Formats: sequence, C-alpha cells, structure tokens
Amino acid sequence: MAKKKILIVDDSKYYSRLLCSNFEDRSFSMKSERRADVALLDIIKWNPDLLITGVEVGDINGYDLCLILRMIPDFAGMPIVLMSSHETDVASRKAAAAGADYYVQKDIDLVVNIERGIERLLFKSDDDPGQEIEKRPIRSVLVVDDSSTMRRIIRNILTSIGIGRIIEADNGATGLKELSENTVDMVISDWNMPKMNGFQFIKSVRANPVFKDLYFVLVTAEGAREIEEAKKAGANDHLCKPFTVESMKTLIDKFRSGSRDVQSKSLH
Amino acid sequence: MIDENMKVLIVDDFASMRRIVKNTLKQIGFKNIFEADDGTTALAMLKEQKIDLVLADWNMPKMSGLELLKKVKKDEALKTIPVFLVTAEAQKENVIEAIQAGVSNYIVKPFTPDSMKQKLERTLAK
Repeated sequence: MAKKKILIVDDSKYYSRLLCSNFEDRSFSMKSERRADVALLDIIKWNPDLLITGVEVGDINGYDLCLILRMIPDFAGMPIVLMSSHETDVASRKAAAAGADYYVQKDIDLVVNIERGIERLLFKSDDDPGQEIEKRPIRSVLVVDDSSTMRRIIRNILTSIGIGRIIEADNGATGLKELSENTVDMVISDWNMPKMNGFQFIKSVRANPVFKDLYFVLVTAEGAREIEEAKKAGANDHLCKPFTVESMKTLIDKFRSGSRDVQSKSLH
Repeated sequence: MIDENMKVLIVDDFASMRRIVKNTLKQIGFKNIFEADDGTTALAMLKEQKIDLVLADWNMPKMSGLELLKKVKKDEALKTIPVFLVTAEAQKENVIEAIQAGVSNYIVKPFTPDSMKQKLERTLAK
C-alpha cells in the first residue's frame, strides 16, 4: 500500500523536524516547507494526502493557505490541520472559518493531538460510523443566502467535509437561474431574502417537475409554523440558526447514508 | 500599520465589485483609491501615478488579473508594487503561474474588511 503523504508548513525548524521524525517512522511520506507560497507549489505538484500548517508562514499565512486551497477545485476537499501557539478559542474559530478540518495547540501534547487528527482525517476506525457506504454522494451544492458572510461560512463547512463544488446565489431568483444552468445534488437556502425569499423559492423549485426530487434544506431562525409551511411547500429538511458545524455535518451525513425525513436540530 | 495616504488601484470589469472593494478599503482607512475597469487602463494609470498597491480581479476580458500581474512584474518601474489577486475560484495551473509571477496574496471572495486589512498590513509593513 502506498504511503500517505503529509506536507508540513511551519516557519520553525523545531516543529517541522519534530513532526517529520515522529511520523516518518510510522510509514508516512513527509515533506516540509517554511513558507506558504512555496508550500502551495508543493501541494499542486506533490498532491499530499494531508496538510499540517502553522499560522505564521510568510505573507500568505496559514489561514490564507486554507482559504486559497478551498478556492482551488482540485484541493477543496484536502484535509487540513492547523496548528498554532495563539490562544485556543480565537485560533480554532479562525481555523474553522478559514476551512481547516482540525486545530491543534502547539504545546506539549502536539504530537499526540496531531496523531489524533491524522487518524480522524486519513483513516477510519472499525466502529466509526463514517465506514458506512455512501448511498447518495454529494458532488455539488447550491447555497442561497443574501448574506455573503453566511454563504462563506456554509461554503467552508461543506468544503471541509469533502464537497467539491459549491455554487452560490444571493436570492431565490438567482438560485433558480443557477439551477437551470447547473446540476446540483442539494440546495441549502435561507428563508429571509430580498426579491424572492426561501419559501417562494422552494415553491418555484417544486413547481418544476425536473426538480421534484431535488433535496432542499431550509436554514431558518423562524419558528415552528414557518418550518411546517416550508415542509408543506416541499422542503426535505431544515437547519435552525444558529447552527453549528456538527449539525450541518450530521445533516449531510444523513443525506449521504440515504436516510429520509430527517429532523435535524442544531446542537446547543 | 497601514499608511492611509497610500494610493490603491482597484482593477475590475464589474463596477459593483469595484464599489464593494472601494467601500472595504475606505472602512480600513484608505483615502486615495483609484479605479480601472480593465488591465490596459490599469497599466496606463500605473505609469502615470505613483500607485502603492494593486487589487486586481482575476477574471477580466482582454487582459486577466494574472496577465496584468505578469506585466507589472516584468516592468522595471512597476515590479516592486504589491499586487493582490481577488478571486472566488482558481485552477491550480493558474495559481502556479500567479505564484511564479510574484503575486503578493489572494483576496478570496467573499471577504470581510478585517480579513483584507490583515493581509494588507502583513504585506505593506515590509
């Protein structure tokens, strides 16, 4: 079996050597770079299975590197571990916003925590529910929201779980246009939008026989009555705001596994 | 820290996108903001004015942001000007070309004033 390839990007030779020496013994093929711009060239040419990056890695920092990789279709699904000596809560939030899959603090437990990240991102254990065969693959998702920030948040979550193609629209009317021009497996739409809101959008979508089976998720901060209206109009599922990364992942996993009529709730 | 008197050139064929970038730069504190709707106009402006920073969209007709970057970096009088490429998606081959041509950084859409400010500060501090 071919060795898994891991690229480490860090301005500190200490951390690069620490990780290379620990994981080369465990049958990984390791490379390291000190700067993100040089690492980007390495990633494109060498195509590692996993990237571990620090934050302070040149003009293009670790967060930028994540964002740039998520915008390149070939690498949008690459597993990324971000490591930092900055304060954990702030750094882990920034890491998630940039599209990293896993965050570790640069402390005495670095190697152990990186090992956990590698296990989770590259390998599946016997009792990991992720071993289930994907009955319904998701290759392409249409995200409809008038807030570009919200679209970006959803995009980052979706690319972090391996969805390669994300199309965006800022209201229902633009969403309909994108549906006519692109094949999508799922629509994730906000409720409150100008020109055409989520409710009007889903009614228009279901009015077209071509889209009668298109999986439609409504994202809403509205109450039970609106959620019920959306279901009657044809929404398959809903996600309550504020949602978490985990609740979005649960929703996607259930779609992939072929479950229907899932009632997803955000985890508080 | 960013010098508010720096001159910034925004290059984008969409007026609405130029407006968004301009408003973001104003929020950061920039006062001298110039606009061009294509690469040829941008090059002419770069030669007439002393521009300190270029933010260029990637996808433009006639001359793309990548082509503009290459021309800037090949010009002895202009090659030290930092050039950022603004984009939502890019093919890996083009990213290689941009790095080899000397791009300073990418502004990935959608962006916030904070994320743009941090990137500009890192580059302009040098």
